[in-house]
Amino acid sequence: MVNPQDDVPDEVLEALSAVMDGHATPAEWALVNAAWARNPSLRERWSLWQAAGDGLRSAELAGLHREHQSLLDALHAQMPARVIEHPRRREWLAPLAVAASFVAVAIGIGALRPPSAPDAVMATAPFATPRAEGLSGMSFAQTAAGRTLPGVGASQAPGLPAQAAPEIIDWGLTLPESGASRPHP
Amino acid sequence: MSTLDRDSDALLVREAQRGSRAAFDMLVLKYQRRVERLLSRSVRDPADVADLCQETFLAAYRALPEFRGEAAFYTWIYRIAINAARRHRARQRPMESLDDDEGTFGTDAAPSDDATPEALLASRQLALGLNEAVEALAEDQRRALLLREVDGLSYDEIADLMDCPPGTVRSRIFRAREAVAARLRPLLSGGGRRW
Repeated sequence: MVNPQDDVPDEVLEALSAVMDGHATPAEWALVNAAWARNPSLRERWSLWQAAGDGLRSAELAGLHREHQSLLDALHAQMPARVIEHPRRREWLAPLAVAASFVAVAIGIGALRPPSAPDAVMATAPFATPRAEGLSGMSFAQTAAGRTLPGVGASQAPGLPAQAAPEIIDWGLTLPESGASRPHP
Repeated sequence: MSTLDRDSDALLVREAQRGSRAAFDMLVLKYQRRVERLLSRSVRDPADVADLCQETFLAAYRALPEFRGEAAFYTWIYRIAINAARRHRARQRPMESLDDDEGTFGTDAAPSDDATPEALLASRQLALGLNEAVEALAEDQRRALLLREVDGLSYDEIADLMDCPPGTVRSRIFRAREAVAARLRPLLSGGGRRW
């Protein structure tokens, strides 16, 4: 149904009324947003409804009504084209930059680290993911302690020398181990 | 400022921040009268008030990306308007102390002291016309409109009071606004009084 006074469908006007009351659905907002610029009647209606609402709350405010389009025209003429920045963009940009810097540092450390001589275990191991294997079923404390302590419940593979500490996870750090922390033979 | 005002402002502010000029226009038209009334308490020349009103909304538009919604939108724009008026007064009378600004802006409902008899008459006629328009509404439309506009109730609260679905409340308020606007239009088409 179209309002007889103008060409604005009642559906749009009712959506505008819901926007005024803070009850519009996203679809209704989209309807109003799309119609606003091309439909002067919609702007006139919004202005009149606001004037009436103000007037019901304060007689003085109703008396301050003036033609609405002149103020909008004056503002639009001075508004920069794209001063608005999407606020959400900045919300994820900073954490992303931090994460990217961590990745870059990790890659850098990995590249600088001298290649270790392949031992018998690693040479025969399938090209798997020791990091993933190390993390599966192990707590952080266990994986961190894996350099010095055998994993809890980890079974000793047959044929391996007893002194060989199992390599649980490669953290990419080359910290020297103290003598006290070495396992006793 | 009701909770619903804040809710509807939150939608409009969010959409304006996303780049919707329609949303910003709606905020301008909603608060234009209140900003002008505020400015007119310390700036006497109507042309200056109009300029400062523009300046206020333009500054708000530029600063909108920084608005985080901790305060109500009106509180925020109110502060921008006060600062604009202070700068204007400093330019006009640089030697005069501005310490009395809070007192000047403080009373929210006081009419302007320098309103002309014609302006007061026009304002009274508008108030009378608005009153007649509301009285002419059907009972259920009038109640719904007043509970919303004057008491600031939500659709659900009005529906409880009127014992009808919220969709009916929404429709009644819309119809009431249309009827009132139709009667107000001839009174306001001349631009109304300005300060």
